[in-house]
Amino acid sequence: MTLHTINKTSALALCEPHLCPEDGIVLLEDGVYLALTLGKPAAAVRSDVEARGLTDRLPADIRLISYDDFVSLACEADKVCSWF
Amino acid sequence: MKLLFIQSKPPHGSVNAQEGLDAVLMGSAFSDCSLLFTGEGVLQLIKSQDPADLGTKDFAKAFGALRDYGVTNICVDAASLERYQLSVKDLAIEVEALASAEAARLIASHDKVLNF
Repeated sequence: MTLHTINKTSALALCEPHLCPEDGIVLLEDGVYLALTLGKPAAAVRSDVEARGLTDRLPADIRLISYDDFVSLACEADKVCSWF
Repeated sequence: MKLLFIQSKPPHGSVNAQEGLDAVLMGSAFSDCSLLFTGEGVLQLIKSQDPADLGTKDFAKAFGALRDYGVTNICVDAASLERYQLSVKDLAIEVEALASAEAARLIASHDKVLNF
């Protein structure tokens, strides 16, 4: 399982074609704006979401995580692929 | 350890492309390395680029040396080529064009991925 991280909205177009069904997605920095339109389950870093005023606007399939959780997810995954 | 290097940025606007190429050449000294060009990264491979007037290094010449460094699995995302109206014949080196799902499997089949 690959964990894909996306840190800006423009990077989704790069990442999306290369996702396997079992892969995970973490949205961080400006990438958290993608949570509003992604249409699939993903984790988003809480501090980045709160900083941008998005907390109450997130779809149900977006899970908020801390940066510590992010580190744990990265360790649990076989590998991390960062898109930027 | 199988490493996959992904080139996803165009060649001259940032240092990413050159850094990625340097990294894969270095990585090839100690590991089994593959290379995937996707998104704007496919633009790195257009033939006959000439950055002389930019005053930057023509690092694309080193793409031709990849096979000598043992980097033989060189792939491009076919949909990205198509987006820029390119075919493999327009590219400076011989590459394998992959459908996006095949490129996803390429990522899955490597131990580590480094994206530039």
